[in-house]
Amino acid sequence: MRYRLQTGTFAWIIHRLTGIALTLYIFLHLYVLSSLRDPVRYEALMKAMKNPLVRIMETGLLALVISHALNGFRLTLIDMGVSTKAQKLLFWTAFALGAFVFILGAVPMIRGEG
Amino acid sequence: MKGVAGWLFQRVTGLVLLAGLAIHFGVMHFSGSQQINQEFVFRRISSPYWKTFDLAFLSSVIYHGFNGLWGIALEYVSSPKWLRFSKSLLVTSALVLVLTGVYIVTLR
Repeated sequence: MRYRLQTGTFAWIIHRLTGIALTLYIFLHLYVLSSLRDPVRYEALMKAMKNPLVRIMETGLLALVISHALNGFRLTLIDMGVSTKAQKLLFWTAFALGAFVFILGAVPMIRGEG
Repeated sequence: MKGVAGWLFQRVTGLVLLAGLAIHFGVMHFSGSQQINQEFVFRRISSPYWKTFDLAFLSSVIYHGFNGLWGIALEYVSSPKWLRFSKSLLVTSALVLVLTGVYIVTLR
């Protein structure tokens, strides 16, 4: 017998991986912000972060945040008693909403305006 | 946190983060952030309202993230010794991050 990758299992794996990555990202985020004390160093860091590679990584981070947030919301709804029969529908609704918000955010980010 | 309280608090902080992130991204990324420089950030964190927001956001994200990692550790780490080690590592990291965050928010 082989296991088929169900929507719920897939969402569970993604939730776990994005959760780990996002928690590790807090270290980097606060490290960058701790340079705020020194305006020159801070502006230099901000300037370095305008480079295309960092912008692409930031956009990837946006994708992680959106997927974790919306899937987490879906889980909370299920915990609050929304029928598990609706979980697939919820997943695809969250997916569509997430894709829309992602595009809305990714365009200015890639163009260096976000 | 143990049992039901931990589970519930994970959901509550999750909802706080969902609302907080919308505000965070709106202000810091999608409202003409080309103008965001050190002066802008200092002006923002000098407001008591933003300080309150930032501290609530900071503590929620750190609780949520590290409680999540702790849940993963509970699933994969079976030896009590390594579990203790994971716990002290997670608690120490969380404390360091909270202190760093408080330091940043109280710069102004």
